[in-house]
Amino acid sequence: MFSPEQIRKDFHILEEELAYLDNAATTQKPDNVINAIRHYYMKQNSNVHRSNYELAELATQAFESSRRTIANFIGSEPEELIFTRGTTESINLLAYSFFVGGLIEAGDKIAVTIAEHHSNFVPWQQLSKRFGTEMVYVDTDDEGRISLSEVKKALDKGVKLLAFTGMSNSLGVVMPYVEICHLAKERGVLTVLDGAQLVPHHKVNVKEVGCDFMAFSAHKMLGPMGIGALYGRRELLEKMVPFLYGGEMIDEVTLEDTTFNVLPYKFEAGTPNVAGTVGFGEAIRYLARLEWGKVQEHVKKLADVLIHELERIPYVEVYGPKDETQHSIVSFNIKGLHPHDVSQYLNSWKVAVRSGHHCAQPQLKRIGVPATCRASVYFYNTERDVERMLEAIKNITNEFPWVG
Amino acid sequence: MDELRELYTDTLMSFYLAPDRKGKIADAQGLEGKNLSCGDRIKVFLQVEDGVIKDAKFTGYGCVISQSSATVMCRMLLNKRLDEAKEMIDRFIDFMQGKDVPEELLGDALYFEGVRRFPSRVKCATLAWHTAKELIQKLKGIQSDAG
Ligand SMILES: Cc1ncc(COP(=O)(O)O)c(C=O)c1O
Repeated sequence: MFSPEQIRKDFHILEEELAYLDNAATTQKPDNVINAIRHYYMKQNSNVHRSNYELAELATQAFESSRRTIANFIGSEPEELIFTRGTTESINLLAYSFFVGGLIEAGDKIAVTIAEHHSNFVPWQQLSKRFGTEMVYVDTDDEGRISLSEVKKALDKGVKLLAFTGMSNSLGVVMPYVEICHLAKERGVLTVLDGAQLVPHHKVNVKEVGCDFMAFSAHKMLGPMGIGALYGRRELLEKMVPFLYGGEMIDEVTLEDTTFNVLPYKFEAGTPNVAGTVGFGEAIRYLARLEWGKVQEHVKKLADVLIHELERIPYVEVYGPKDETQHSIVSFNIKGLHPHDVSQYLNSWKVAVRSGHHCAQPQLKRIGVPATCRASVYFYNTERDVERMLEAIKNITNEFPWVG
Repeated sequence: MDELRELYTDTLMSFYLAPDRKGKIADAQGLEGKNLSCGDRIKVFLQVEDGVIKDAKFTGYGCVISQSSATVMCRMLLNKRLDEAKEMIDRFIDFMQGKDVPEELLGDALYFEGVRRFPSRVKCATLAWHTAKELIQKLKGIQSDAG
């Protein structure tokens, strides 16, 4: 049985009377994750893949067991799963490796959507400037949706690579990522799927989706900060040059040259964040035990209540789609009040939401607002959290009488 | 709720609701400032004659704190010499960053005292002031080039 009330007992921080509705920024961590990290440092800590004493074996086992758990969760081979600091580093790894290694060359075209988080936008844009490639932008509609016809239009301009988000972090739009990958594959275009928001909410099997690469972050799905992953199709990873050079990633080093280690180590230079991977693995184990159908239904229902109740308040404007393409994230503004003032006010009601541009300035510009308030729901949120926020918004005219 | 009142005092709200220094000044030098954390932009205009600020206005979109602070600043800059203005701005920024500044030197800027307890909002309160400071430095440069 899926019971949010029961689940909340696993999250100490939620014992405080706080409606935590900033899950798109980062989620809270359950006890098993926190305990696993503590256990690692108390009982297993040592450097991995270096030594053969018992402790080193334990650390290496914990590290590789997490890799297998996470790879299994997304349907990849463990060798295709590279540990990084998170989505941002995963995308930068790809971009630098493509450009430096010549998989992308001057004159090539790269497509990204305007719904991207800056981390899947700025690396491509900046490296394009440096290396003389051309950016092709896929537009969204007024609600932040991406249509397959817009994607086709961009792909048919002869692009080599399409980088896009599976779920937008500013408006909560779930993109037709399977269809988009299919269109790209038909045309021989490489796909980079930003899974930072998608993977915490939707079971993604990379082989079924058919993406070439996928980036995601542990901290947005119950895991610790500073750890994440990059999935890449084996034959592509084999062809790519390393992003970071150093220890662990080498095969043999001589004064003349260096040969590189096998996958995935070729892309994992330096001492890794082992405790982070242990926490990441535990987070995935927690998620894998949940009934995902129920979880999704619950999150969708809470976000729908928020949207529909907010829409009934005359001084509230809700952005993004209000149908089945929307999930978890509700972006809105109060007429006559800056989002910063709204989130400060909500804080006084013990409601945590984010306000600002959400690292998605092109998308906000497209819908014509400089900033929004964003409430984002995860499965441990309850009707109480949502009601508290709605109650606060209904009372906002008491503090700011000119609103409305 | 009381905590909220420390930040959003009636005085700040009244400044916000009556932005009498809002608008452009034709032919005056202007400079844009940004708050990187929220993406807000403000543009400050200063009209200077013989080293004295004859008019000061601002444009832009922002929260109650940043907008009311811009209003107060522009009012306070009127008829100040550039070096006086710079000193006044430095004092306000010091004050907002928690340094000790004699209250009698702060004037209406003292109304922002409550903001100091909200570190994430100090940037909102100082946005216009940082922008004006940069603009004054530019204007002084132009003056000394001319002189
Ligand atoms: C859609 C999306 N992509 C990328 C990122 C960047 O993730 P990280 O900061 O964990 O690298 C985020 C996080 O805010 C996101 O929401």
